[in-house]
Amino acid sequence: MTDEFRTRLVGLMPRLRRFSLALTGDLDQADDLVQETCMRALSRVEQWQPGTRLDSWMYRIAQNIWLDRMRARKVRGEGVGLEAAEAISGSDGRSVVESRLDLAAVGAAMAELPEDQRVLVALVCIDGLSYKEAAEITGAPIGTVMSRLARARRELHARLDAPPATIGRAASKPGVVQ
Amino acid sequence: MTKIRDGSVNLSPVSEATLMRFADGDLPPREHAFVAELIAAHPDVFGSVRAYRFTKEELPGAYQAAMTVPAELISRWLPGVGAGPSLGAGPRVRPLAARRRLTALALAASVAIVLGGAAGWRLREATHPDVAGLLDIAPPALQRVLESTPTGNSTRLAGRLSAKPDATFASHERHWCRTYALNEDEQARVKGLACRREDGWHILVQAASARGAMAGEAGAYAPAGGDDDPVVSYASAISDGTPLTKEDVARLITEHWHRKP
Repeated sequence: MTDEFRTRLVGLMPRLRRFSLALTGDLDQADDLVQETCMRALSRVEQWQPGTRLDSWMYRIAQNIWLDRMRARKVRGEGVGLEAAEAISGSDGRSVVESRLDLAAVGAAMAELPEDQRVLVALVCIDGLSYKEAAEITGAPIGTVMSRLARARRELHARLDAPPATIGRAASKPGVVQ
Repeated sequence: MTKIRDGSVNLSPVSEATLMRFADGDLPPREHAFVAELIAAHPDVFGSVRAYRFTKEELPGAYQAAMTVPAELISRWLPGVGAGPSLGAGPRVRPLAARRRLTALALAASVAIVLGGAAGWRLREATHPDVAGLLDIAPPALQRVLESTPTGNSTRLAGRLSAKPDATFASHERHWCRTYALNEDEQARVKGLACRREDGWHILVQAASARGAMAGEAGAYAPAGGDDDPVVSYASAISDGTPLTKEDVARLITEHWHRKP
């Protein structure tokens, strides 16, 4: 492992953790996902090509692990509900306290999205990657990425930016389709 | 024109993909201006733009807590970084009393940063606004210190701020590397690790403490409080052996670091 690889890997940890939290909605599960992602990446470090984007490679690994977990939980008939509020209560820092309700609300809305849409929201809206980069990571055509992402964002807005009394009604609206 | 599943009709002549690109700032200037004019003239027709803007602006903040990574998690996730031979006699820095105002370096955007928090040192992105707010002195000043200051000596940078190189060693990749501390009134405010390349010293990891750090005696360093010192861990991970003696470092400085590790 080169110095450059170590440096970039350490520097990537905050973003990878945020990406994992966006997928799982639970900080403990997110940290587990980061750990498994790192273990897999370190065991396959020779597959990473220097000069290529390390974040895309790591996100692809994390995404695949998470999707496998979700499929396994569904096969076992387990729920995939949100535990974000309890998960972050063990952390410290003022920003955590201030964002606790926001994370719980956003996490609940994210949990209602299909997995493929959740990944795209995490990559583009939260991590700030381009549509093209998101398409490369997910392996989906860019047109598919954009239509799924647009649908997901309208759905999240309907759930999160509506008065409490209208949330259920707004969330049940499928929204605009092309 | 796009259809809505509940039977109503979206009269927008612009596709949803284009509206999303508009909200994300992804359209070329001319197309962006065209869509902006349409939206200004018919704001009710383009309601989805609000959704795209909302998700772009509001969602990241909800996940900001994850961006602060405790050092123990880094050690658990990346055991290779925290392992390796010890730097031995290399001096360490211990965080102490609380102070709010911080001092730090201007950094390359790719540099990994560790910030001190209530429970220890913490990793953050260099581009995080909290980090940008810390920046106080220019990198060339640190370049000069690392290039020409002997181990254990302090060089005044600006005002009450001084820099002090600590351990010097060769990395696995055959680069000279130095750990250092930036002190403000004898208190270590920032510590870091930099390695020398052909174009100068590159910071690999850097730490700052909101609580500050100071030695048991004025002007001297105290041993680290435990294994949660990411700069020392990082240095240990890339070190190819024991630190150089003061005499070896002085010789390297005289030779302008031309001797290869």
